[in-house]
Amino acid sequence: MNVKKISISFISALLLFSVPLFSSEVQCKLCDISKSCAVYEEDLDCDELFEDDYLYDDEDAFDKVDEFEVDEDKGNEDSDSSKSSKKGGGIVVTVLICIAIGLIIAGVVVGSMWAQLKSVHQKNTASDYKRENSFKLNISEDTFLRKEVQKTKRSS
Amino acid sequence: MSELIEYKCPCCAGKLEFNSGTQNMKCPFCESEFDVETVQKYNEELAAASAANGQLEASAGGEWASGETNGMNVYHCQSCGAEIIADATTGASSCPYCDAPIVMSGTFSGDLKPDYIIPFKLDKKAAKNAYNKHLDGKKLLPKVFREENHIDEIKGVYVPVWLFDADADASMRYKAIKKKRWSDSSYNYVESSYYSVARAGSLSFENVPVDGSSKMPDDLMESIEPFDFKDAVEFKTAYLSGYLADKYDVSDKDSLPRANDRMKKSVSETFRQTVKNYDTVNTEVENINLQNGKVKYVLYPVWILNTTWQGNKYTFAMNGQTGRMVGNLPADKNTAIKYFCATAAISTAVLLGLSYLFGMM
Repeated sequence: MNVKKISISFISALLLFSVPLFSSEVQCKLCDISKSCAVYEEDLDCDELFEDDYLYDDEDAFDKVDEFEVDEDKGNEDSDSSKSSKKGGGIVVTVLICIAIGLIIAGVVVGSMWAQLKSVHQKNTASDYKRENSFKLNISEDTFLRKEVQKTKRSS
Repeated sequence: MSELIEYKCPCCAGKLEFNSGTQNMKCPFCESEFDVETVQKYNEELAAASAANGQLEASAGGEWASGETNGMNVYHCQSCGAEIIADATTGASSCPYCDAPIVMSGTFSGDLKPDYIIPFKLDKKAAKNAYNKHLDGKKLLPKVFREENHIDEIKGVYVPVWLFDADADASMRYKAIKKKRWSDSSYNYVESSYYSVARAGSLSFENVPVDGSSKMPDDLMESIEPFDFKDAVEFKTAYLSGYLADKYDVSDKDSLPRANDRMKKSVSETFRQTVKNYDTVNTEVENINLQNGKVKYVLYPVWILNTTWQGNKYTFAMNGQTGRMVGNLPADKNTAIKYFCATAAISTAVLLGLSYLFGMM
């Protein structure tokens, strides 16, 4: 009985502390996915602002700078909203994982309580009735047959 | 009454006849001839070989001495058909197997006398305590079940058991694989080394029990094992006083396959344990031969309690020698659901808390 209780506690503790690790791995994978989908603003080349050959009106330059600033703000807003959506997704995943592991732990615990009620089992062997010191091993031979080596390419 | 002796032909197994002309034994079927001594030796070896593979050397049980069964009554259960023996002073009133009323059908006679008996070492009080302890700590056990039990009806019954002895010779062959794994910058390697493993030897068994009563469930009787045969004494009817004894209705011949099965599985397991340090082991050939079989008829002490609850019968048995108590108990499904929900809720809350602490949320 004690061995059963210890093993159930160990399994529960293992599941309990695996959540942060598992959750962080899932979040990293989410980050990777979001990175591959994001559209990055390229570093703006200031020379673009001064494409024209002629000397342009200062006002035009400032207009272009204003446009650039507006675009920059838009870019910042976009990066803020993607960050918050990523965070929201991560929380949902963590909650779902916690619920799933909670259900598994509950299943293990209630399963062990149920198993306590069953004590009638057929005995398939007669190991309790071996005559003491009657076991004799006359032949014990291990013969080598062949060797095989399997090689698989590693994924980078 | 004289017995007819027959000798078998070593070639075709036909019945040999003495040929007065050649003064040898001759087979009328295949016309082979053998001298008398050779035939006698062959048939003795044949008789010895048939004692192998679980054949029993001698029958168990003895004959009752005159007057030994005086005062022993046979009770018949009209519900399950059990036949219980008890002495006149016991006054049995209900069947230990199904709890139905039993009637005295006559005085006991006939049948085999048991070779040995293991007397009860634990009394009714110890049996009741063991039963209560068996119910303790079972969170899913319905409370009503505990309250409604009729523990006073627990009965001490001597269960008829056949005890088998045998010597096993085994020869086994396995296919075993050792694996070695390593990697370099580009590849993963797995090296598998294949071995042919041979093991052969012998192992002996004594007092392997098989219960001789069809009324006593085999798995219940096996669950309260082991019984220690060191406490067994030669049977005397005085030991039955105050207890019931079940009459056997399963013969030793019918019980033999079960004993053989258990012994063979033990042999297989024992030899398999000698094959070590391999990653995979598969049995290719298994040859187990049981011989020198012996059987004894013994009575084993068991405290039995039968309970009916919600239309289902629950039987509890306690080893009257060691005190081991077994018996399946009912489960309260509503309690199980409550425990499940509570455990799931608490675990989930703790996990969410840990996740928050680790900065996952």
